[in-house]
Amino acid sequence: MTPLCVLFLDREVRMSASKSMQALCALSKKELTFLAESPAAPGAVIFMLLGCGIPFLFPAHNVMVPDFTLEQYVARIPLLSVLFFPAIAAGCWESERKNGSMNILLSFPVPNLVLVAGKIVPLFFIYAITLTLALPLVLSLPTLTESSMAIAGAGVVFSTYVMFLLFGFTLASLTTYLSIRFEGNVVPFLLSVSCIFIFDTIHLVPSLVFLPARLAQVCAWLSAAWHLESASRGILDSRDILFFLIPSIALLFASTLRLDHIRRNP
Amino acid sequence: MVKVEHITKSFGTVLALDDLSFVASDGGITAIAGANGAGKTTMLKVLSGILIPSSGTVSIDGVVTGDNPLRARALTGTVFEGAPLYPSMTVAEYLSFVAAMHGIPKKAANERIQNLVDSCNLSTVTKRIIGNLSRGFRQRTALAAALIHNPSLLILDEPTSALDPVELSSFWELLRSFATDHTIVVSTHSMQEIEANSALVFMMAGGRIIESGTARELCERNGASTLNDAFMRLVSRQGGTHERE
Repeated sequence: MTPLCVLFLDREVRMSASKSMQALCALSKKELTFLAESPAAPGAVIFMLLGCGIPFLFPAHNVMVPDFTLEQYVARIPLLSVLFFPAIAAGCWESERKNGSMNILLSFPVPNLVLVAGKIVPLFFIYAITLTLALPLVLSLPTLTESSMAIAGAGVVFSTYVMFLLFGFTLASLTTYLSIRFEGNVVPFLLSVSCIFIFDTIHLVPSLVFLPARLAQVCAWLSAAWHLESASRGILDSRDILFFLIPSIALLFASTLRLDHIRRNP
Repeated sequence: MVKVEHITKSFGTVLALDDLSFVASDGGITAIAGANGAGKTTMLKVLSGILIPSSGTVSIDGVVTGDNPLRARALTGTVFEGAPLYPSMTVAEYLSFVAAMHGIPKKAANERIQNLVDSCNLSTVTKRIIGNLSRGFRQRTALAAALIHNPSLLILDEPTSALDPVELSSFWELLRSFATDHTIVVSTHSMQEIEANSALVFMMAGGRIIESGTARELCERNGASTLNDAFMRLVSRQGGTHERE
């Protein structure tokens, strides 16, 4: 291949990438507008913020959590996510099916990956904004309590937020996949609630029922809490990053395959 | 020009399209007629790249849809049955969205939108919410969106099914004005509309093309005075079956 061909190919690739990016921005904007107009997304954001904030607002009087730590905060967000993601995204593809606009989306000259990303990016964006809104609460905690949180540095907060973003990406990919895989709103909602709940709490199973040591270890390893734990101590472990990244990419790919399936067998 | 060669499409055990071949050329409106379940919508979805055929090839201006689906879709504009649009968007927002999805730069898109708003008589409703528009304006909006990237092939699936006579007349007038430099394939139940506006007609039944030609040729071949009579005779000869298992 001559250098000229390489340049031409590069230009083609660049143009195609730029068009895909433009389409992704347009899809994300459309989806964000739709979510902002629906009651589910603002409701889920308020739910998440209240869930994050209540123990911080009354640290001295909270009977359940008298000495609130960053570890407890880390454990709280996955549980709040059990409802946050399904409430916003379980019906994201159903609305296209019901509206008849699925055909419009499928007729655009963009790869399936862009159509899927157009659903995940807005969801992830809302989640990231919600986490950012919760950040002042975390940072102001040292002034409110004398708990171990007071000694949490910026690095700990940063690593925690990076891992939460990865965790959110996984859940966004999961909920979007379930929405495209199953018709209606109820089945994808219930399935995503169940999957996220299991993902968050599977490490507790060995404390409830007797399991062989190795199986208990597997349960712990499969749990989101296990992989978020080191971040709450300021450690960004590449194994934890891969734990969230690999299923996210696999689910993204599964969603594109599902769109391809719809083109063959609607 | 659109060339369809030996297209077959099955959904489970139902054969929706059965070895279908035809050519639709530029410069006129090609109509697809047939009873419900004849396979018209399936065929138009295959043409627009939404459905992948079980076998056979479709080429649009020489681009084979199976080999280069993104390029083929970029050459196609589709108005779907019932004009499903995003009801919470305004007309202008929807047209901008479709332009962005086709990768048209913003400045060029604005110019194109302005031209289409003028030619499709949408200037009075550009800032109105699509959900509040009449069916006629919704169809015009869908048509403008389908034409925004200046496609070679324009596909319309029963575009006039809910239009009143005034809207109907102006809609066909609009389509005829675009037919000079686009290949237009229309599916409709109305034989009168086909007779008045189409250069070429394909009659479908049971996923096959059972007859093709100009409206006059079809009438002559079937000893009918109108296209509607010709269609009734053809369908009765087919035994009225529209789906085959």
